[in-house]
Amino acid sequence: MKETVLNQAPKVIKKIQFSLLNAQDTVKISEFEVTHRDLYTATDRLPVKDGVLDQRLGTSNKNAFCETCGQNAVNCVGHYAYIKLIVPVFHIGYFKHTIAILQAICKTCARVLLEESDRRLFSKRFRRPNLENIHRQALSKAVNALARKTVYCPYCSAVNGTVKKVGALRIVHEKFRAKKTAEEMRKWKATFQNAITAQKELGLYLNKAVQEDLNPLKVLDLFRRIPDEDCELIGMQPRWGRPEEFIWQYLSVPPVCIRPSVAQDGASNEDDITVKLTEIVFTNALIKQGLAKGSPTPQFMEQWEFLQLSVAMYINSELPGVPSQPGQKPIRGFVQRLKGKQGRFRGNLSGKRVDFSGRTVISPDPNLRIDEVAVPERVAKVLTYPERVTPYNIERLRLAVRNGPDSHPGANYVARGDNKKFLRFGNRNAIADNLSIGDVVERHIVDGDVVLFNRQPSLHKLSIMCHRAKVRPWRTFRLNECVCGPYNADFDGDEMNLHVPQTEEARTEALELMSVKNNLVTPRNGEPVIAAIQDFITASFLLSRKDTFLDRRQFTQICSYFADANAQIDIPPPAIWKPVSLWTGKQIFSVLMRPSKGSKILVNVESKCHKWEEVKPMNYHERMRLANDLSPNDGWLVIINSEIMCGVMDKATIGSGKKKSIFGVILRDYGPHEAALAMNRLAKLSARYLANYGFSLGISDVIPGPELTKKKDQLVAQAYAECQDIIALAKKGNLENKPGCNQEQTLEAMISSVLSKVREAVGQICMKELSRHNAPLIMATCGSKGSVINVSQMVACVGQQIISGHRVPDGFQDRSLPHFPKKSKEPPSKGFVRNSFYSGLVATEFLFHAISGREGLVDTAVKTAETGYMQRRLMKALEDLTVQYDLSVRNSEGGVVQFTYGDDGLDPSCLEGDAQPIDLDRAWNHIRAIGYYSGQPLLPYEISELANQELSADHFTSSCSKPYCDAVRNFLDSVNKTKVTKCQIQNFLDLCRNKYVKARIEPGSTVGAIGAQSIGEPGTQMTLKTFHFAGVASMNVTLGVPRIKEIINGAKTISTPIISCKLVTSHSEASARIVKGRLEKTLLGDITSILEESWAADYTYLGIIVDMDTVQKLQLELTLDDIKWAIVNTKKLRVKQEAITILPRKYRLRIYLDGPNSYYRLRELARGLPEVVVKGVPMISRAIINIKDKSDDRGDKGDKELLVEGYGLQRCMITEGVVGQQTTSNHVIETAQVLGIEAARRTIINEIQYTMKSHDMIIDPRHVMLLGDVMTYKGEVLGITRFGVAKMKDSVLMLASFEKTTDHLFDAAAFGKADEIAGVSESIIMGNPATLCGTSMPALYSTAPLISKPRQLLFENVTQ
Amino acid sequence: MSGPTSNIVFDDIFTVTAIDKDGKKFDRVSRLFAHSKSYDMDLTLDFNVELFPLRQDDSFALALASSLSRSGAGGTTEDGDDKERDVWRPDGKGHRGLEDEYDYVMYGKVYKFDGGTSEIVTAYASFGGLLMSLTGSFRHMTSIVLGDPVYLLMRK
Repeated sequence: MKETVLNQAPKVIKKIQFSLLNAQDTVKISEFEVTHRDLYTATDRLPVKDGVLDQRLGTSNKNAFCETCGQNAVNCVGHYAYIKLIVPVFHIGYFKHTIAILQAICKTCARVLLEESDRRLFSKRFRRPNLENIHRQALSKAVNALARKTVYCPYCSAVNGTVKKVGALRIVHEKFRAKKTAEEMRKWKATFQNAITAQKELGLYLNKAVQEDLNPLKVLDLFRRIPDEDCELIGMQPRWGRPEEFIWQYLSVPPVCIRPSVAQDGASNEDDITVKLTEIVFTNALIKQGLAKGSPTPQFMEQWEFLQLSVAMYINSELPGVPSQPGQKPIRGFVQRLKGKQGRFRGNLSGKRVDFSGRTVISPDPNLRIDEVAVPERVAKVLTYPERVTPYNIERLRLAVRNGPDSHPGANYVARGDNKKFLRFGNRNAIADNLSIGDVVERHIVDGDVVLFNRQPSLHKLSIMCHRAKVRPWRTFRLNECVCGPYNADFDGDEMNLHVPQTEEARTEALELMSVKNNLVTPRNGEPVIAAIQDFITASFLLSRKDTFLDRRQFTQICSYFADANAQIDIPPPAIWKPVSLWTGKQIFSVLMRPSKGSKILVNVESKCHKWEEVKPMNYHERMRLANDLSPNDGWLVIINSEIMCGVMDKATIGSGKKKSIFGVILRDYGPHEAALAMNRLAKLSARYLANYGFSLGISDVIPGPELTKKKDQLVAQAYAECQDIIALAKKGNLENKPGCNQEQTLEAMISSVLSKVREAVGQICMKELSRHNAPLIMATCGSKGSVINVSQMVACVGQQIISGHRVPDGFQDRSLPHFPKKSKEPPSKGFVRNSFYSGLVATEFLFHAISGREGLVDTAVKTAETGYMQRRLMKALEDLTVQYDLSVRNSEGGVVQFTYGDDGLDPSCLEGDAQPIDLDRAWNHIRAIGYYSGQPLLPYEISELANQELSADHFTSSCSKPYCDAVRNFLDSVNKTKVTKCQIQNFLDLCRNKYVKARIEPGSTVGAIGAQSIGEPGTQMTLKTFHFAGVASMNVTLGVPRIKEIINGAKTISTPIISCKLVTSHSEASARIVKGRLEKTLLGDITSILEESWAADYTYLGIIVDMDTVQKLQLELTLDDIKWAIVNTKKLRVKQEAITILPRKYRLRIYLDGPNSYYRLRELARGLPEVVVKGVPMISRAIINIKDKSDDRGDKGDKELLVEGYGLQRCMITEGVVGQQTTSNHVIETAQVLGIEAARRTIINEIQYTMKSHDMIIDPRHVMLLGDVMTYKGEVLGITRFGVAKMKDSVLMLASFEKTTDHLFDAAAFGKADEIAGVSESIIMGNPATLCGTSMPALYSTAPLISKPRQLLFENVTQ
Repeated sequence: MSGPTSNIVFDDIFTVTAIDKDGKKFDRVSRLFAHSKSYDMDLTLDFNVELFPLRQDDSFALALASSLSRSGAGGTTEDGDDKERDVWRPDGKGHRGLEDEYDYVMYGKVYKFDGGTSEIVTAYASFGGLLMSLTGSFRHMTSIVLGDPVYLLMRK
């Protein structure tokens, strides 16, 4: 039966308006009033009528029915009741708002304390159309600030003082706080005169009574009197809530279904909310009774306070100021239900439980295609896909229905309309026979079905990808090892999740956007992430080495490994014909890339291999121009037309992370499909070849030979001796300090460098001395696993153990362990391990190694938590940024963040060269190599002409940017132009154009989310190595995760602020010193030789003898006068300028003292004077002259520059001798203050890139730019923290799902905010597809037109 | 050098000046450095030491040929060079030609010419990864065509 076309579209929540629940509404939605405190009747254990578990509220009991709607526990949505509070109480959520309002209004006439002029100004501002929430809040803050300063009410002239919170839930008004109100206070006190005379004790309390207690009743009265007009001024919108609604008068009792009772062996266990409600009902009743009977006031007050507290705990059980009872488990109030990771927002609304998913252990299978995942049969029988019956699949589905739920290609349900039948029971054959077109069969997963595969932590979009299912026996999910990279999976017990999309739309979308084939490269920088790993690399390396020769049988055998006997493979001619026909291993890979002559895959690439030894020119004839190809270890890869000319297959050529790897090149030139096919072939080949080869690692692989042992011992002994010498030198004090270091640091630095050199040298010896067949060595050489250091640690020497960047510190008195003499600095006592893992570590070494190992473990644990949070914040801040149809990047509210994405509108994941759409050199060589030789070679001028003509043609200019066209033109001008045909030029230009067009970003791309992932994900891989050398010893810069955190937090104080100043005379050391003297902080103590006290009968002075020699040496431009003024200007010392006399010839200053206490005064001065800053910037701790180690746009190599540690960019820039324009700081906030927001943006970008680069992580500049723009586009630097994000986003739901959930919700209600449900978080919470991003961008924007009923045609009646 | 009709594009006698100057990196392959007196050519060549052992100061004849057929004229009779070049018979039967006169024959491709405008040029050829570089005056290498398959024939 055909379903009718929907004439009513499903309801979509478009907007949420937050408001206060007022008393009327509370009662209106309620069924009855709760008056009874008991839960169950004593006799039959049924819920008490008018109690908080009344059956009219619904029921949590499976056997009972709701008395309001008559439904059972599953179907009843629940009903409300209310409690009428006898006395009003404060609402804890609005407590802050209540105080704020009280501060702003007159406590007598309840008007807002604003002069008429201010009032008009603010009213106007509040009434602006489309006022953003954030501005409204800023305005009400401004009103509050202005109003609370007003003492006399402009309307009733009453006195107003400060309103503040006392204790947890009390507000007091200090009416006569202001000094000028002393007169009023006196008058007010005088009014009590009569009473005091009558009752003496009252006088004692009079001063206490100055603080007026604002109890809920009084506040309620005040709030009721606030006119609507004034409500606006305190930020509220009377339409959505008035101030008196902040105060509880009627308490709504929620349905039972949200607070179910759990019956446990006879007794029932009540929810915290229920318990709290009974408490409230009880206290309320007590008060009511008390009032009726006239109980004493203190008792009433006590009960009122208790009621107040109960109601507060009911909302929020974690009240600040209310001590929680130890031993008692804290109750879960409403706030606690919403808050936190497991709370409603993050736990249930932003992330939901799903059906049709599975999870199990994963294992590898190289025989699967890379886009396949093996699904165990038992999983395939549970997960189903609802397939609609068509004439084309009816027979297949009939079979599935017959097979039923228990045998594999079966089905679990058949649905016809709303009628769904389970196939385990009943006559399946009958159902199968009756199957008709239009039915839906929930059939088992079969080969080729689209599934999503995921591994936590899902740090980037490649953590969940779309595979094709392959149903296999046994119990694990299996995947091709090549796909481990993006998931970061291994097979040591990892589990992964599998989801089955349930509609054709979902499948298509998954297949297009998330499939493995379309995600071979990371959007972080466009490098391949899915590529050969570990054993695949080892096998390929072994096979492609120069001395692998294969006879025909071997060669054809290996070629047949590629495929499953289902592909045409053409064997190339052998490389050696005579004396015997032999093929080389490289030819295998030529066949792998291009299996048959029919294949069009012509790979052309030239790149460096993992380990590239440079050609030594002295070995070759001098007239040869040496090509890299001749690298002695075959470390340069040249592939021409899919034939490997030279080079080996290793990490760099078939592994991940290199754009010029074979798969990277095939992907760019021939598309993902071909790249995936080649990878499938490689996976099969490698696994099969290596299994046959028998690659294995044993004890013999780590036994060093006698030569190696001898050399290593020699090296270590030599290093020990060297260290001894340095230590001896240091003892005598003859060690020359390194710049910016003291003696100890210099010594440490020198010893460290000696010891690290040893490890390096031993590693090199290992590489040389170990056999070519040594397994660890092979793995280290080809980069499949481990490094040279790992090999040498096993074979030769473990090396120095480092703990937080230093050698092992002293754990005992003056020594690391009691095995060593005190104060010993020798390598063994500070953690140098000379043994290898093979030879075994001695006790002390073992301990040192364990210390360092522990540090690593702690680091990883800390790091995961930190980067996880960082990633979450980045994601929340950037999630809604998308590219629009005009290529601008906007957030969900339509605010422009970038006018063109990344300044050029290119997609980072499609880029080839260095952040450019095409690698021109390679493209040129490719075009030259693949053919089109026919035709006359062109003359150079013809080439230029042709190029110019093409590049200025319409199809080029309309699709490519001008800089790009210029780059292509320049390239063609500079390239070698011998024997170029017209056809080649044309093809080259076409290629350039195509690649550019392909690389343009698609409208709808969620660049924000991808950018956040691209920055957050590498963070997790960063070793928490905090410090890093930046040119000069001791000038350490914070790096790694802490630095990234600082930058994105927009931290005001950073741990290593460094300003680098370019010098006007950058070559001269002397002038650099002078500038350094100007900047660096010099204290009086540094240049004073003697501070003398002089006592005489008639005068007392403190003499300062300035060491002019030092001043000269430090090149300080300092006169005695300067020093005098420096002292005078130091406020703390309180020295008058008359008190100082200068004796210029003796370089002396005297500070005369007189008056009493001159002794103490003199002592104070003597202590304070050495700290006086006489020269330089106080905020700068030190400056170091740095010699540049490489040329850049700020100077050449060898130039001197000044690195200044500390704050004060402005002072540095205006200092004489510094080129102000080229002075930079690494402090974002300071840069923003001094140079403005654009400079701050640049600093953010540069600093993130610098930090990432120093950890060898390349991130496309576009991602970083986007982050920089998000942090600055509001005109101030906003950190990616809860404060910054709150300023960037307007949406309540988004902010609530981020941090401080309930604060945002209460704010929203109090100020009557609205949420437009436009962003990603909000849409997820509401269950809408996120508008304006991804595939939901092209949507129908106009509403469905109203079409009147078709007019009945005359002849229509005739036919019936 | 043979006449224009011959398939041999280069022919000379070299003397090995050194073997594995960079150090021995592979078990079965060595790199020889050789010089020829007659044309003043320099040669580096990776070769299989097991199949064709050479020592320092050995002399050998080396020829580069575009085809193994004995004469250039032969190419035309067998419908064009292109077809004939890529044909090979795994059983070693079929066309027998130049290789009979040599002890060691490799098949590969000239893939790079280096030298630019100067008198001295270097040709690079790869025989399934075994590299050859031939340096000398461009006059002696005019028949070597970039990108063409090439046979390397050696005899002691």
